[in-house]
Amino acid sequence: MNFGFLTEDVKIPIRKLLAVTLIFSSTLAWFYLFHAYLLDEIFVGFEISWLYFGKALFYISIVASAIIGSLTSERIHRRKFLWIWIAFGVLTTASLAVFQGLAFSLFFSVILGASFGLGFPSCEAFLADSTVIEERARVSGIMIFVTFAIVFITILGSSLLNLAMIELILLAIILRSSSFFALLIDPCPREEGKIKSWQTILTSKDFALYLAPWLIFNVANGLMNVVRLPQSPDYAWASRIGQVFLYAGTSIIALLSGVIADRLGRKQPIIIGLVMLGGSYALLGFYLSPQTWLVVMATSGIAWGFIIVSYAVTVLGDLASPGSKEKFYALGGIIPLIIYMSFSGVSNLLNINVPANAISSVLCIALFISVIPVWRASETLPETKMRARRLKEHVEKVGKLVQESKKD
Amino acid sequence: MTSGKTLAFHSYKGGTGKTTLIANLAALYAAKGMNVCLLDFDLYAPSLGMYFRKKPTTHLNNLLGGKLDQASGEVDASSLLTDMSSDLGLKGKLLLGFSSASKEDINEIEFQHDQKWQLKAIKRFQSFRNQLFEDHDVEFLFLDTSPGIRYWSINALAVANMLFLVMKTSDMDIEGTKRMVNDIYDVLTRYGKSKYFIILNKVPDLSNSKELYGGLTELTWAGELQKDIGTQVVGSVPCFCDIQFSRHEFLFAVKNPDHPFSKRVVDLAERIKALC
Repeated sequence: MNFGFLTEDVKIPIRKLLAVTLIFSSTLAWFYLFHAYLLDEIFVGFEISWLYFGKALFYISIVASAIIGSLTSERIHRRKFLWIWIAFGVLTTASLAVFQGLAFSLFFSVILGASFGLGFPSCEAFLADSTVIEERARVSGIMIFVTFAIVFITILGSSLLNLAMIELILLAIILRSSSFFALLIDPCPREEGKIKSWQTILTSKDFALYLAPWLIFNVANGLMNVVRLPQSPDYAWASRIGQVFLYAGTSIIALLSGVIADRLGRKQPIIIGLVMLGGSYALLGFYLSPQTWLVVMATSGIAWGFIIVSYAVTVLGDLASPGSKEKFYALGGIIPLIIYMSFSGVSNLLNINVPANAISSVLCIALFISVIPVWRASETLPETKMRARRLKEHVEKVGKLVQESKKD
Repeated sequence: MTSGKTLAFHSYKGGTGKTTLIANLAALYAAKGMNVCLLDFDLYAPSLGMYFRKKPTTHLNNLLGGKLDQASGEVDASSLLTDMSSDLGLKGKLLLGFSSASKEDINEIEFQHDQKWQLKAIKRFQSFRNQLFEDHDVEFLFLDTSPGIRYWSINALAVANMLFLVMKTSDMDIEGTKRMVNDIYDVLTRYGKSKYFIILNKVPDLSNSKELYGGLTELTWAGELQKDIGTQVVGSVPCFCDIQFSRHEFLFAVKNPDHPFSKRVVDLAERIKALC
């Protein structure tokens, strides 16, 4: 199979690509494992409310540490900062094998969150610094694809092999510690520049125009996580299968999103994602059934694939100025994402449930309206790059045409 | 199989003297008894019409846009060509084809980026070119192209057998030419097996400014450029103020054969012919 369209004009050296993958994908996969699986395991044996509380602590810790980490990384050499952060992550994960009990579980929820949040904005900034603008989306797409491939393989492997908690912790340690190899093969330089304040970033027009729909997207997805579905085996089946489609859709569409964002611009995949999700919510509003619920979950996966690559990794990297990329990623990427993830925890804690078709119509309208700020925002992929690529493709096409006519 | 050769002249920037050179070369070949066709493929800023003081009613734009298509699928481009041989007293044929200088036609071609349209237009041109070689016995087809990297520069370069990059010796020209070689020429030669060469034009008189040019001679400069860009320099033409700043230079090399400029252009014509 020819993957030329995915890697055409991708100039990032293999070594750097490997380094970015080792840091970005393995850390993000580690996070998803804890978010979707391991945190639940840590609180096994305790009352369910402690799990919800622990999850809330985990997410709050990520947000707070992302802010602290993005400030700290401005003052420390990136490589040193990443060394410390990765070591912190590995030690924290390893400590789960040693310390047990409710208090430790709650404590480690905070520490685990911090071990992710502190350095992940720097991770993303490293990806942005390692790529040129015309390849950033495709590299981001590859990273997201690899992340979910790792998550899928890990979860599948652990359920097939029936891994115990200690073995899962070991897996998580391996994931986090693989990031050390990135630091061995790449100096992880940081693009220096003038440090921007939080206020400057938040009040920047394009940042705000792109952030608004991303926030709405996350809130919409978060609210759909707290819906009350009818209790039936069909809905349970639809939810289970839907989860698979959600993650598979995100990872596969991430690759497509990267290609579209680098070829046609960043706005198209974001708009496609928002409209698709809005459309599926509209469908749910008309008719709630296990099938429509499955469609919503599958469409969510596709929408996530489009938007997480194009906005959360690529646009933020395009907009971010050298010296302040970590702040852009912390504010624009991580915080809204954590807001989405914390919805189910908070709703479980506060026992909030809403009927699916009650809110889906409202969310559908909100998502359609959120397309407007994306339209108004400036395209971050420069027109000159798109024109240069079109010209280059034209050269190839014309060259082939002439070659074929010479054969005739 | 026709033995006619298509030679495209291109440059990174305007003002390199490409049109002057190509017109003089075409006329010199025709003066020697060869059958030559010169087409103005600078569709975005046509200049050959003004150079030859001609205002034709049928243009290359009509050919490319399909307005000269016949029911048989061939193109009828007889109305496109202007024969200058008798006007200029040339032994061989000098056929000219002009582009439209009207704002509307230039705008139309400027924004006509649809790839299907362009590929069809190229096929029409190829059909026309075959007619030139077979029906009009043209031996050399010269294409004057638009400078820089634009769709119709690429299209003209793609159909040519040999590409001549006309450049001056400034840093901007050198860097821009290097970029073009990487972005376009190397790709085109991969498909069409076209060869490309450099012609240095408006070369300053280095003997007057030894300090400025560090003792370089024209020859060593050409040699250095050849190494720098990685492409053979086929010839160089010095800068002559009386040519450069004349109000209307017109086929100077044919009308003033004893002028040093003319001798250089004749020498260049011989070298190009030897390459073919």
